[in-house]
Amino acid sequence: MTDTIIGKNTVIDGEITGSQPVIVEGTVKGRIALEALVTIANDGRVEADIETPQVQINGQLTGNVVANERVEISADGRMVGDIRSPRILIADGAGFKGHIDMDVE
Amino acid sequence: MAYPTTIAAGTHVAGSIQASEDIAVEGSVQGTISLSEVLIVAPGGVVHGDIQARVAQIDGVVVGTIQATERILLGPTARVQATITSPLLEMNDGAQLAGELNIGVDGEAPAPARTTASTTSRSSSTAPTTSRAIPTASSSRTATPARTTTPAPSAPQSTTPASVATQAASVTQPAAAAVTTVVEEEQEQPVEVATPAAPEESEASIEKKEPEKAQANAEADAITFQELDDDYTVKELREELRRRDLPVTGSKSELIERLLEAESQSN
Repeated sequence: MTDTIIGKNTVIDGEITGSQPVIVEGTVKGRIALEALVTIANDGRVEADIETPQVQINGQLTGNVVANERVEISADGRMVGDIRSPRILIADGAGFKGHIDMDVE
Repeated sequence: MAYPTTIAAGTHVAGSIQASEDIAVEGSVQGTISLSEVLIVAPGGVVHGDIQARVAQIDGVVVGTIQATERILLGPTARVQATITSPLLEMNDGAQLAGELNIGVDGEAPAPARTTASTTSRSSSTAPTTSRAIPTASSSRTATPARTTTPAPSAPQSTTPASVATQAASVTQPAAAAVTTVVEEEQEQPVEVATPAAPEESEASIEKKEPEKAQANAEADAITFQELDDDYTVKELREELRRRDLPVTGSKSELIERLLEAESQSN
């Protein structure tokens, strides 16, 4: 089964839900709630709250992330917003502004 | 990965999608889709809402409205409840549709359909093929007429003319086969009969063209009111008058009168 791809000349304004991985190369505004990985590609722009097990940020994200598995911001990634996740990776060179909550007890 | 944007099965999008690239919907979309390219709703894909696209190919479920600026194709698995507006609609056997259709009313003029284009080009390309192929046969016309539809090389009479005929037949046959759809009548006739007709035909067409040319020359010499009226626009007439330093005002008939007068004086 193929992944969902939001192409680089596509703008989605609204909500994306589902069980399949989503790759954002274009623009998404609103909300993304999945049971699978979200990848924001290098040129991808997301202005949305994300609720998924895993998030991979290589592009730009503005919004809050709740991931019950893992969040990774690569060297090209830029993020403004809060992250709540047990595992968070921020690569050397990545941009990040916001709060981090790793549920430390 | 055939399409830049794919809403895969298992993904649901609620909201608006705008794009300037092809989109394939295998999952479900609730809301509006507007794009300048091709939208494909794959089998299993569901769209509730309004669709605007250049071309919409629907093989899944659509409830709402579909507007296309070029064409809409409803595949055999399409289940559509929608108001459709498009200059062109193609519906396959098996497609189910409930709704209102506005075909070729509000939409822009469609590009010539691919099917018609290929048909015309085929017929025009086969026409020369016949005239080319038949003279080939005429060169060996002294041999047995190539009447046999299937040249049997294993035929008992393997005389020289027969083999020539077979050769000729094998030459003509592919051409004839290519023509089948276009000129069945001609093909059914024995080649012997068709042969003399063909060159005459081509000569006739040349002759026809030549008088036309001659006529055109004659026309150039003796211009009449009617011809000017038919062949020239007001703009062209004005340009012609301007070249002769004549006034360019008045109705078309006045312009023509003036031009003819000037013409007769100069002659």
